[in-house]
Amino acid sequence: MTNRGRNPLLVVYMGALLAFLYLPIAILIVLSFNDSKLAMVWRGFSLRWYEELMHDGDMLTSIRNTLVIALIATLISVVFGTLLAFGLERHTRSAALENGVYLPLMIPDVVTGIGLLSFFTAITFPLGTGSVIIAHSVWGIAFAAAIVRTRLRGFDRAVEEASLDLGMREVPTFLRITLPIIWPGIVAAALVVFTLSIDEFIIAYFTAGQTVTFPIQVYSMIRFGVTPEINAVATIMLLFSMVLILTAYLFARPRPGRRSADAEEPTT
Amino acid sequence: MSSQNVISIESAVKRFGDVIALDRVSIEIRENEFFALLGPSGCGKTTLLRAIAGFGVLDSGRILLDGKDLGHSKPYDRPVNMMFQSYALFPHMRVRDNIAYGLKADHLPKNEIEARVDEVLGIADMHALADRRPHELSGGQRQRVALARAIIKRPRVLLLDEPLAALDRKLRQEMQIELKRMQHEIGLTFVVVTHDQEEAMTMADRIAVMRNGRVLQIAPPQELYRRPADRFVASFIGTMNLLEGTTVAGGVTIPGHETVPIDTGGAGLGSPLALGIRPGDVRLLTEGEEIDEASIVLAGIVETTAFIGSQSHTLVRVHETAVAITVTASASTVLVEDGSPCRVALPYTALLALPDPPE
Ligand SMILES: Nc1ncnc2c1ncn2[C@@H]1O[C@H](COP(=O)(O)OP(=O)(O)O)[C@@H](O)[C@H]1O
Ligand SMILES: [Mg+2]
Repeated sequence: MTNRGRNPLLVVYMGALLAFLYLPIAILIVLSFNDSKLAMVWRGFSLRWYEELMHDGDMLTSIRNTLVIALIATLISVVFGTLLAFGLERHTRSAALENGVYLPLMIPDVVTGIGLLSFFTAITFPLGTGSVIIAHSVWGIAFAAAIVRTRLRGFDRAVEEASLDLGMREVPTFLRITLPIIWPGIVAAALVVFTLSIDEFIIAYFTAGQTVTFPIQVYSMIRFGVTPEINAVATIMLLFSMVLILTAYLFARPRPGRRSADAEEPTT
Repeated sequence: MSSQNVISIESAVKRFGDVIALDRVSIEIRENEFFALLGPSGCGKTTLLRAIAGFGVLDSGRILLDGKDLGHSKPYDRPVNMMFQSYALFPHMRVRDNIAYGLKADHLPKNEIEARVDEVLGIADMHALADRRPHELSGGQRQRVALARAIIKRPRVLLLDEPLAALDRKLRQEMQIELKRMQHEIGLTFVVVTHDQEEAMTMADRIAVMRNGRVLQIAPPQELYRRPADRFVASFIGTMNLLEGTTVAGGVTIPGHETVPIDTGGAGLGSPLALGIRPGDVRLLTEGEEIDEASIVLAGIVETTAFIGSQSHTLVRVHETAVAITVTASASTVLVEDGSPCRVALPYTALLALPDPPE
């Protein structure tokens, strides 16, 4: 990139915008290492808040709850989302069905939360880890279906037929051909659902009952004022999410070095 | 039933909604034969090939392999392999694993798989590329992998759906020869689908010409060319000059000429029948030249002459009917200029009676 034609006003604007977006996060990260309890005062670098975190029993329990919920909800979402994606791609042309499947992604979380709460109460399903897992799977399945679907759309079914033709039965064909080809989509779906689940607050708040998930724990701590421990938690979360999102991105993007289908080898 | 038929297709019918993709198709394919299914796009070639492979159940009729009805058996239970039009290579596997796939499906011992993969890599001349993935190959190389993968199980019949269609012209011509050589070398029965009559004529021992789900004629290339069953086959296989006529007792008449004595093959009296003649059999007469043979002689004007290789192709517009007649001769004999009047002679002995194809 060159400097030619760069407007100084634009540079200032861009700088301000970036500061607006990232300064709060930067401040949070810095403060998580501040030895002082007061946000205004920098008393030097310290890991004391991270240490405190390690000994905060309630916090650790909430993190464990959240991880259990996220893992199981992810598993359910990926399995059923993938099946759903297959169904939508290969066994129906109904637009209504298709939109119906993706609707949970568009419904406001508050509505989903109230709806599920009423539903669980109506069928007297005990509120707790189990109900949150089900609640998160509701949109998790829709997300997973949408992501796997994009992978299935470019799928050449002749490849499956070639496998059958060469003597492989249906199930091994699915395991050796279909699954490996759509695998990146499934991994991406898993990472996205997992990431969304671990910081989901509203729906969990409605459906968790006495169970405290990590976002709920943070929310309740904040009611007594922001302690630097929260900054430390947020920093760890941030790091964790970024790693997950980056991995998802690497999996979902097309393979590097793929050449156009009819490029001929140069004659040597 | 003769035992030398590897495949017998008996009155196969297949519908897709209102479309009749296969209409009472009956074909016998012999051992070690190079058989071509030829016809325009949409005539049912792929449908027939897939039915042999076990994809898509027939509505009626049967397909026998070595005299045994294949019935509804699954593709993996048929000793038949197919090379797909899109090649359908496994994108996540190396060339070597693509080729080994069929043997792994049969759980052959590892060392036997390796030996046979090596052998086939040799036949396909692909050793140097064995560890590449399909997306790292050119079109021609992919075609070879697809072929190697399909022959490694030594199927009773190898089915090839437009195997050369994706290649450029030059490579396609090379591969026509190559396929033929390979078929000889490994001694397999090949069934090739193509819409390219030149390709079918070059490679096949026998050709089935199809149209609208029907088989119009099954014959060796030479016979298809010399004795086409109907107008469609005649025009599809090479160039054919056609004159519209009517059957009468003892032959066919065209307006303004005496009756041509020709076998009308059971066509009813008074029904329309075309007379066909190949461009090479038409004689361009010089001024005042008379012909000894019994012929239809037509007067017209030379429209254009094109020289292709050692041959000249002259287009003559006939006065009476405005029909264009193509005349092919060796380049040295042509002496007529564009626009000049001329006469063409169509010897009776070279004329073919061509009914309309069944609808
Ligand atoms: N799966 C299918 N569903 C509906 N129609 C089909 C299907 N497969 C083929 N057809 C129709 O059957 C006819 C024959 O098709 P095909 O066998 O592919 O022709 P070809 O290979 O000779 O080009 C075409 O009219 C095609 O549109
Ligand atoms: Mg086809």
